[in-house]
Amino acid sequence: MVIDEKMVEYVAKLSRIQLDSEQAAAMQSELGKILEYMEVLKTVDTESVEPMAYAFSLTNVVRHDVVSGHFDRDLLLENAPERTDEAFVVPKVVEA
Amino acid sequence: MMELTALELGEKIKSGEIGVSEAVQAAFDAAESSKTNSFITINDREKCMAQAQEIQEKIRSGKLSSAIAGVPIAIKDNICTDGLRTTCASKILDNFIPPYSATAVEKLEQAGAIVVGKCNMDEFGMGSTSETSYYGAVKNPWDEGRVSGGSSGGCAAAVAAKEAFCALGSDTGGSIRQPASYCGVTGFKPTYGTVSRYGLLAYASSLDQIGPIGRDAADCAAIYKIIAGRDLKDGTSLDLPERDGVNDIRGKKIALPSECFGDGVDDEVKKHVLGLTDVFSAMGATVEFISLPFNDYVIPAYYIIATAEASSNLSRYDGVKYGYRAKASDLTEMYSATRSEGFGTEVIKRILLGTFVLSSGFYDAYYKKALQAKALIIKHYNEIFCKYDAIICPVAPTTAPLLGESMTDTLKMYLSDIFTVSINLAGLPAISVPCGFDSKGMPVGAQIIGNRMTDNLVLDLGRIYQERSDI
Repeated sequence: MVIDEKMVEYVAKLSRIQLDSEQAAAMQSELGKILEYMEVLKTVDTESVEPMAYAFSLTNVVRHDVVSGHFDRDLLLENAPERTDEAFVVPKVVEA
Repeated sequence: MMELTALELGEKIKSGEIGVSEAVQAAFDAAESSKTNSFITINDREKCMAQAQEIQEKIRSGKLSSAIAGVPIAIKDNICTDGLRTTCASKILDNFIPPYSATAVEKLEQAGAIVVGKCNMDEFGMGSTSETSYYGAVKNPWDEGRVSGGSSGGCAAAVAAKEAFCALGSDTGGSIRQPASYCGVTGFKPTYGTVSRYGLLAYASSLDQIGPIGRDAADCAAIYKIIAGRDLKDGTSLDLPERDGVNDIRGKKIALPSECFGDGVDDEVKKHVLGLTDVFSAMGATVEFISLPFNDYVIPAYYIIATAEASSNLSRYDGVKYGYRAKASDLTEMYSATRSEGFGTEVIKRILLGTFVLSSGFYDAYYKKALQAKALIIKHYNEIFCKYDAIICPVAPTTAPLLGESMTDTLKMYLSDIFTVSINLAGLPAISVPCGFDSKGMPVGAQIIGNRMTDNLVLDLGRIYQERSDI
């Protein structure tokens, strides 16, 4: 079994998600079942198959380096949980 | 009035038989008295009435002539609407008011459509039943004890229950087609890239596609025509020329994948989908059984790719710029407390799964392997479309399950997407059309799949079937 207690703890930490012990146990069991089912993928012969991220081949899209429309700062800050007149406010990161 | 299709209403508005204000009032009355829990937010009625007057004037003066000018429309709540709350059915976006509209919404509004409200869905599109919503489950209008399907369940239920004329949904692995099937309405997932994703809150960017849900294929085609087209705000949007549609299906070759008519698929579902193909053969199309060799591994490939992309896309919900923020004394704790309190169980499960398949040591065995499987799926579809014009199969193995049934068995819920997810992996267009009712009185949906960029053919096959059937 790939998903043990430590692995759940590890991916939760990477995902910035806190789980109490009950939730962690439930997730371990759920993820275990899902990954067990996904084992079938290992039987597929993918030797020399190039992985494909998009269904079509895409070319890089570039635009001219000019300002093309922008949002009003106040309007964008209206959705912020905490703000000043011109910035988002977060808990203190660097001690004075 | 709510019985009308969007195109019928558009016609009556143009002829002056129905006023735009009258249509807007009827749509608001219907949405406000929803019995299916299809709406999360209803737009400001007064504002829309003012909009209705402007549109009426533009229609009168000939400035506005689109097929849906003056027609009220409902929008799935993961598609941004300027100034109108957009929650993705999540606590984490409970108070989010977008400062802009999605390109698809902008195009509809320019064509004279009026946004009545935002439809309920699975949280961030993650679910197949619209039960993972923070705002409660959507109920199926044919049986209140059953699910609407998901994730665009509110859109499908509202259109089916005559609480909306038509709606805009999104489809990542079946989220337009499967609820349309469960609710007995028509849903269309366009070729990946033909409709701009700008303003669609991302779940899995390589799979997500906006599309219409309507009473019939003609309504879906009219809406698709308006929203399709290249958009510079979406780097993956396409402007390849559209091939023409069809009116005559004599000589068209249709493939039926035998895997979709085998064990595990409800007999009544099979019977009604084959009934639809009988209509096409009677009209001169050739219908043949084929094999879909990838059917066993589509679900693993899909859920690995979708959750990997989701784990990355959803990292933006951190309590800083918008949405819910948990109280905490330091930044890292604030991030994790916000996300743990703001996301529901299914979303957390998929973020963890996606993080796992992308983590070092497991990336090759899961994520890379899934991308290789995706390449194989695309190759198989290419081979099929060298010989056939369209593929027809059930949308789902069963009709709508009972409420609650899917919440206790995640794998069972994932497996209900078995006939829809490969279409997203290959970027193909597909329509879900109602083709009968089972003995419980629940609608059965058939899926018509075309090669990429044959959106008009797929829509036409749906329309041709509906012109000849009374379902």
